[in-house]
Amino acid sequence: MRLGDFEVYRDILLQESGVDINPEKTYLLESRLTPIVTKWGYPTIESMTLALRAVPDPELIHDVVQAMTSNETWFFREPQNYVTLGKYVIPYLVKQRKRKKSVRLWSAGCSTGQEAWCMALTAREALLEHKHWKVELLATDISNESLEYAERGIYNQHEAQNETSIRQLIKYFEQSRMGWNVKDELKTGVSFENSNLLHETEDFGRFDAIFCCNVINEFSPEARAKALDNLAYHLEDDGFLFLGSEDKWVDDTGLFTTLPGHPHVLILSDGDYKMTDFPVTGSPE
Amino acid sequence: MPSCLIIDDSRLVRQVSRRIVEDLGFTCGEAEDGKHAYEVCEEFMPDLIIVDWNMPVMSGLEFVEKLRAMEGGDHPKVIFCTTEDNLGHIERALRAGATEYIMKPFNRDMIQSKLIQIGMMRNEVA
Repeated sequence: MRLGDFEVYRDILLQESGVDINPEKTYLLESRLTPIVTKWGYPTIESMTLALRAVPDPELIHDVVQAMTSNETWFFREPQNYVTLGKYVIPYLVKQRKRKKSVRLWSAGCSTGQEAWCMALTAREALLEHKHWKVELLATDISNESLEYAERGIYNQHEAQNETSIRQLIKYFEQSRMGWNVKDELKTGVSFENSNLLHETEDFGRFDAIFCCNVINEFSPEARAKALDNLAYHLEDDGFLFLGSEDKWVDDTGLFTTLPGHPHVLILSDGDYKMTDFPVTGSPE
Repeated sequence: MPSCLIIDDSRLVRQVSRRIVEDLGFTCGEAEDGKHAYEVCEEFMPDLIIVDWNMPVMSGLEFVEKLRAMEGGDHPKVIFCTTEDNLGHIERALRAGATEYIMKPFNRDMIQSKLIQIGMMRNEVA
């Protein structure tokens, strides 16, 4: 691929997903784009590039971005985050949201849904002894295909059982000929929306905890700052932002600071946290 | 080094499981059915047991029920590893005292993640 053509894809990816790709990855680009070239009926990648330079179909852009970004995930990826959510953050929120009796969670960049279901499951388990509390969860992604998969909530045996404990599996999933289906009980209060962290989106309101794990690690510094600004805007004054282990970037927005003892959890620098209500016993795994 | 007993009537499955579990840092013993496994446990109670369901002489389920009634039989963590994949079987296994349950086919990653979940291994980045 010529450098000029490469720049077309680099720009699209940067605009749409915030991911900045390195020219050394041209080979990867070609292998990932080939199925899209075939799907849209272009004779070569070059002819598809020409179309993208002209007036591109938004659907084509969607497919290109989808092909170039990673959507790999699995149940309880980032296990320490679920421990922190269940043992620390939910118990803290129980003290702070006594009137509302509900927690709002957001899985930002939910891919095929495993993270969203694990968040819902963890929150429910943590609220077992607190009757009448509700869990509301929004899961968003830029890929319609991923969202459809996520919302369906059907996983094959291998995916379902690998990181899930058998007790969780039989409690929150039911067996079907397709594999293991998320039970309706867990689906209650969970919704899926197509949304891009870099675009002006509808206002989803504020959340008590947001998981945005291994999503913005490949973003350019500018895109990352924009995404963080968006996430901070949607966080309650005492909300928590959970990151993944691949998120090794430095936050230079100044919007967040690390929750002491939990390196992957960020809190708002100018937030309003009742730190004395935060459980201190034990330590995360 | 923690110890593990692998119970399966297939020599091939025992071999594969043994290689995985030894590689993950366990010493390993083998038994080809529940009765033999019970005798092994009378001599030496392992820390971990990986057991198949369907075996001649004594099934995995019967073995686990008997194991949990033995002196010291509440110590081992027990993972069923079987082709029986329906809810009824899973519930019976848990009632009998199984710690975890793997539906075959299995692989190294699956065994490793179950061992981490039940606290038999630390979660280390390979």
